[in-house]
Amino acid sequence: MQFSQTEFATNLFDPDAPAPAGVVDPAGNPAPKRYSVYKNNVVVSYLEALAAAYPACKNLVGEEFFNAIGRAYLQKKPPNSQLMILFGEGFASFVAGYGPAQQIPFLPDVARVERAWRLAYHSADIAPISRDRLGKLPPEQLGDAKLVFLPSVAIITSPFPVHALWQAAISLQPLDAIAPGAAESVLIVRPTLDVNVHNIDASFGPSIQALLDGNTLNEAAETGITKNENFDFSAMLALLIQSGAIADIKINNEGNK
Amino acid sequence: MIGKYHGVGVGFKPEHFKDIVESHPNLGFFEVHAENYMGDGGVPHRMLSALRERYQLSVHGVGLSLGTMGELDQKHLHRLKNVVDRYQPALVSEHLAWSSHDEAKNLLFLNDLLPIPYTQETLDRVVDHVDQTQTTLGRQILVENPSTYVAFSDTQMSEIDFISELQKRSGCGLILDVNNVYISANNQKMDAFEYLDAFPTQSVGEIHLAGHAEDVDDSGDKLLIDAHDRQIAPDVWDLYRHVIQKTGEITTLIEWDNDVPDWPTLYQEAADAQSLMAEIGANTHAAQ
Repeated sequence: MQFSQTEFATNLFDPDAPAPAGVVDPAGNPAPKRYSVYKNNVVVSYLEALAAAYPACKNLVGEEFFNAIGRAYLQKKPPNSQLMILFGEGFASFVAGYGPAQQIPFLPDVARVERAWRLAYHSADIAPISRDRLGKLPPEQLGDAKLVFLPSVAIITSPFPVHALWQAAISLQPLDAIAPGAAESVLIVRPTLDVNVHNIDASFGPSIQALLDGNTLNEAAETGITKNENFDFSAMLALLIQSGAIADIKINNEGNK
Repeated sequence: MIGKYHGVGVGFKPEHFKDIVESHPNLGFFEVHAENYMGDGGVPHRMLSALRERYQLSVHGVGLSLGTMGELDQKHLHRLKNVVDRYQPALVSEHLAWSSHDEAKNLLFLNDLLPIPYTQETLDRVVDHVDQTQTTLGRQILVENPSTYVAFSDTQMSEIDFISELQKRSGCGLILDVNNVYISANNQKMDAFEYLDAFPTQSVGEIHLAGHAEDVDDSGDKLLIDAHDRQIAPDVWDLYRHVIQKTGEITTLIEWDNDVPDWPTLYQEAADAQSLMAEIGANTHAAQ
């Protein structure tokens, strides 16, 4: 048999590659133009999936440049899963290392927000901790407790005004009013159906990350205060509770994980 | 046809959700692409559950790659099983095509429905894959005739013979995509009516209708592209009439996946199919 799916698949990614052996028109003649319909379909479908995953990034750089980044990204990371709804893993890191995108230093952080948003959108439906359960927790044991977060929760800390940039880009608003030097941190939570993107006090970032990494509340408080002496632990905890980020609080004697 | 008659349905698009729940359109079912509901939770599942409460579903896979010459991806097959178990759709279907390539256990997903040559070897392979799928899902699936842009010098049998053998050996049902027939007939220089007359319509569980685009091939001849981005062409409606004159009432899906129109425009396409069915299909006592 002349037909090889390996050759057919490989040649799809090379704009100059000929039609694979045995690929012909109905009269048996070579058919590179017909084969190139598949090349085009595959690349266009990938770029559309990438644009659906990173709409703010696309709006920030324009379609042409976005597709140029996309083509370079696809050469490195073609989809390795049938789940195109989750396509775009590692795009932020790729953009951070992509030469032509260096002029837009905040682009990778906007991409991080969009990736976290996408994962949150499709994450498992877990309810935030109930008021009842919160009220019954023994306060004296909270210091050694660990938090179980909703699977949607993510934090993005950035030296750029990443929340303002993301919000402007997603709604096609001008960036003029955004102070370029203002560092922003973002907390992403999907407590019910809507994905919420909170612009949070930047001093909360390290402490929330410590909790996400499985540290106790005491340890996270220490991390927060070490990084910033004005860090307000109670305010951070209140934010996590109010945003619905916490699924449960594991007290030591309840079998800490 | 095989199975129950589920009327006329349309491909579900999230942007139509509000229109659908508010107007509760007179449709037999909604079709969804299985892969869009393989996430863990959130809005997609909420919408699909709401639809399922009121309508039958047709779960149409686009990623299983029945035509792969490698192994069927068991992980993906089990994802499909999860969707099917959860939503209990009236119909489950996939394509006579391949869409992923597994090179040394590194899956490359090509996100397109790619053609295969029709040989004994590819037939054996597809029969085995359909068999595995039906065994895992615990039910019959429908396999759709492809739209193709190229031919293969390896091909040993006609598409009809391939599909008929596949149906007989695996016990699967079939989707007859009339737009694909129109496209392939043009692109492969066949006669669409002859193709339809030879098709094993007694095994068809669902008809598909969609719009297509036009391009040119290497010789400057017209090449049709399966774009699903516009209204169904008049010629395709003619082929549909021809089919339902033969089959009688048969479950029919309108697909419109790109440049998705507003809800009334899509619903009108379905209403047109319903009218034809009432006019022709309902009066035909299928001679099968």
